[in-house]
Amino acid sequence: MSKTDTAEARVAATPRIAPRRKNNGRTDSPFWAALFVGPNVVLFTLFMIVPILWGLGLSVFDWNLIGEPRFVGLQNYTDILKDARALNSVWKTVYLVFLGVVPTVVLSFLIAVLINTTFPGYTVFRTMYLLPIVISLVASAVLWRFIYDPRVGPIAQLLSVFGISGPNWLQDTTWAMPALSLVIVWLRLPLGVILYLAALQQINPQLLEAAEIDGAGPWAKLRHVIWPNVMPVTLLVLVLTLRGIIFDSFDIAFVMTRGGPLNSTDILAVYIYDLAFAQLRLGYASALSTVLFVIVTILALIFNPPRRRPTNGDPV
Amino acid sequence: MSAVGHPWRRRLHVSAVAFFGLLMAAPFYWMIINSFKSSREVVAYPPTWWPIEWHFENIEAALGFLDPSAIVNSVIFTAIITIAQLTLVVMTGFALAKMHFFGRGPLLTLFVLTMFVPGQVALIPTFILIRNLNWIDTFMGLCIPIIAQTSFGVFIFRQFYVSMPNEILDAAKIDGAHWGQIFVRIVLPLSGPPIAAYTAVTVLTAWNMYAWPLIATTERDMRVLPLALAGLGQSFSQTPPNIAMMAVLLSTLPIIVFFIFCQRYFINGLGGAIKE
Repeated sequence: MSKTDTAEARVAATPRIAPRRKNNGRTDSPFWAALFVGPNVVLFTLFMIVPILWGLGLSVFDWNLIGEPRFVGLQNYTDILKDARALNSVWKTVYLVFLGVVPTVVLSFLIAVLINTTFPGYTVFRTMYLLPIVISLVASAVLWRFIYDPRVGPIAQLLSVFGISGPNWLQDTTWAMPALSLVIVWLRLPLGVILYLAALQQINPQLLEAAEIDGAGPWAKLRHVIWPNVMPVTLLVLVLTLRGIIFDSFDIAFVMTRGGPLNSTDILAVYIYDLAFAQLRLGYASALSTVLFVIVTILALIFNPPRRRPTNGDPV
Repeated sequence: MSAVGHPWRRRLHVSAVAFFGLLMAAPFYWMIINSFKSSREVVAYPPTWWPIEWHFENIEAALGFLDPSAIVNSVIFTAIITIAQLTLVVMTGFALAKMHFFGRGPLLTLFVLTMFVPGQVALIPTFILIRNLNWIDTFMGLCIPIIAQTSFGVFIFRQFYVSMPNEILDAAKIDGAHWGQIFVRIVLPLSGPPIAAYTAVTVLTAWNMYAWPLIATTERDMRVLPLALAGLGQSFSQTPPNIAMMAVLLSTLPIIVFFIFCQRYFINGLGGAIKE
């Protein structure tokens, strides 16, 4: 989980920027405003605004950090189309997003419905569901590498009980990506569960009672009352998971597989890192970063067309 | 689903909650038992589900692998980022909500817009900037670009302060208090819940951060914990898995304890977001 998600969770859910208060024609002393806002504005401009614009600018240059930057126009972008590894990493990124987003949304909904109850000792179990929120991506990558161990790992051991000889998960070009996505889903479930739990507690109990009186069984209630009522949260979880996966997957993929075996987990974030910090092709890496930004925006629009959430028309 | 119904259905429900909860927590169980196994038992086939002997000396070995400087660096890194960022976002959020000054509207728009630009677009230029400032392998380079990621915090606190009634502030203003006094004596004491939630999430994020420290540091004594850990993950041939698991456990433990105590703030902070 990253702070971006949580913050975004709050942002996306905040109804709307409140209407601006009437100014009453007075302006506060610029001294206090400067004191309160100034330090942040300076830092933010230097270390956020400038780098963002610089990144876009850099994408039309060819630069290796040492020599003179050379203006190449849109050549970096056209090169991407000829670069098999770039195209592969675009595909792998989209693949990972789908492998991660759909299970995260479905499972966090189902878990939230399941644990939206109470019984003695309940908080202990609720903590278990939320625990993956605390472990870092790197720590979980190290942990899961060991869990996936084909010889002494618990998964291999459980499978062998059923007489199945599992693959060497992280060394298998077919299984490496699903294996990574399982770790990511595990890590991202708690946030979805928390958001869905809060949404479930907002549902008017009378709706459920009315459905019961009409003879609705548990499935019918789930399908026709609960699911439609948590739809706004579903869209929120979709977008948060999408962004989270795009940005957190670097840590997982870099530590667990380094993009291998045979580039089967070579997502864009890993390739960009390799280009920028190992090959020092900074201009080309910036162009690919821009492509990543465009992909995130497109996926966000697919998952969450702005028209369906008029309160939050932002694309990502 | 409410669990009213037949007693057997209730029992089934409770068992399902317990079962899947244990499944979610199972990786943690695996981490804990393996971190106490001997280096022979941890690679023995078939794996044992409970250590034959508990080897507490693994703690010392793991601390050696993590190296104390990484632990100290992580504490400093997390503390600086949390305190500095919180100070910036609370003050800016408040000013954008309650003060009237030239450029307030455009400034707010700027913060809102940048919230949706992914960090990776800025990553490479930020690295170049830090390098040109000669800040590689310094706490300045490690912390300042992260502290500067204030747009979400500013927006959250602005939303919080917009809903704070003006009457409270006006009364103080009539009594002749200036903004500094109003902020410290009246506003801050009322800001406990969002500050707690924001702190909880920031501590978690900073403690676990990997990509930026990986880029901004090269020296061993500047490493933070995730960097030290990642080294252990690359290959179990250099570090025995029991020591690697103990290292993961030790680096996660402070934050697990922190989470268990602050769970309320996480859940209220995150879940509260969708309550209108």
